[in-house]
Amino acid sequence: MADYRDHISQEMFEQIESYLLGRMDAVQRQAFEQAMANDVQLRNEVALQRKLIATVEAGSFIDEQPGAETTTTPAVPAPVRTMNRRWWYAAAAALIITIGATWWLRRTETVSQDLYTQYFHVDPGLPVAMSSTHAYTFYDGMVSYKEGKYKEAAAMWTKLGNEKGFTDTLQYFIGVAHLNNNALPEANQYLLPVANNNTSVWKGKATWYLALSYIKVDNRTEAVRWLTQLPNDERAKQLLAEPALREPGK
Amino acid sequence: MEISFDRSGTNPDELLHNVYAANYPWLLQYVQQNSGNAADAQDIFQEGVYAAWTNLREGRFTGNSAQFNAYLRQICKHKWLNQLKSTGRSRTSYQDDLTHVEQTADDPQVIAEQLEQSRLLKDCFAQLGDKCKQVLGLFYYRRQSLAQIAAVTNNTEESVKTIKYRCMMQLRKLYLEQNKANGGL
Repeated sequence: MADYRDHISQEMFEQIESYLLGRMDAVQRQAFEQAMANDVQLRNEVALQRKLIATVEAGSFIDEQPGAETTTTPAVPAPVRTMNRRWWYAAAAALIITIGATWWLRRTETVSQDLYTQYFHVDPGLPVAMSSTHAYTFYDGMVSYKEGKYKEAAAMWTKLGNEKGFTDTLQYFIGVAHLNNNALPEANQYLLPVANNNTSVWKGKATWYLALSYIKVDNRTEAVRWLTQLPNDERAKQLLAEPALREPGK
Repeated sequence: MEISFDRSGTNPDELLHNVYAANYPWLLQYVQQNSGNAADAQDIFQEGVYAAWTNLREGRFTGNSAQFNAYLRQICKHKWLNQLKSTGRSRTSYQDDLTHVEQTADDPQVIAEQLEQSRLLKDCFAQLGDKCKQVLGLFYYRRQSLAQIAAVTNNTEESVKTIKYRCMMQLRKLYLEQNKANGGL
């Protein structure tokens, strides 16, 4: 079995990557090849990274091919049964009532969902730098967050908060991570104290996402209450001007 | 059509699309004439292109584009004939077929091992999250700059670099663990 280092630093990884992608100048290349000649683990690592880059290239290509999509079998047509006219009338009436009732019950919910979809954009998070040793766990969670692993990020940050205490920054990002993951009660639990914290730099953003969280569950009255606390926020003004929120009770 | 197959490869996206255009119609016809359908051809092509492409990048295959196409077709044929054999749909053996295929023929055992490796790599890549696939695909496959990726993914360039590093380390870990479990390396 080939010998590999347990850990590859970001700096070493980027050096190998530059070599493999032909982005080193002649002097750098010569020095790197000299280092490889004297280091079997480095040679192995270069070979491994070459394989992995090829994997990404081939994998990305395959993912965009039509065959990579899930093939769906055409639905088998339902058997047609003959019904007498009386049954047809009854079935049609039942269908109309069902559709009407469903429409009536879900109309407001749909309006809220549409508003949420229209106005919700994931908070992109904070810039991260792997070289930063300060607050490592927080930034480690931020990388997970940026990778779309919101549940994992929230878990890391919650653990950090339990160990070191919950700052408003931590509370805010745990809240939005839960919101992005559609865990609304948990999202509100963390966003609420930040939205009520007049000294927090995250107050405005927490208020905005809290309002959206209430819209998502069709609690428009509560959403309006929070949105009115953002008088200088253009998005909040625009959202409050939506017909569905001008008369939240309807 | 002559394609430059240098190992650093400036544009894998374009190269792979050329490979697809040059070989997939042939493979589809071949598979359909030999008891298969379009879905079979897609599967075979995916496995084949993985194996051929990684061998090209790793320097195990050297040659021009015509030779590469022949090499890929040989791998695909091997895969399909073995699949037919294993499912009992054909009495044709790969050894019979090898007598009249390309000059670039590798040993069937070697091809079988390469296909196994490419299947493992494909599985590892499939286990990455969508965000990882997006960032890695844009950087290595589309060869976009960090600035372009940062704009698309709503990140800073520094964050993209870190995400790329983390995702590649995740792929590395998956591959080393699975290869070890399979008794490889």
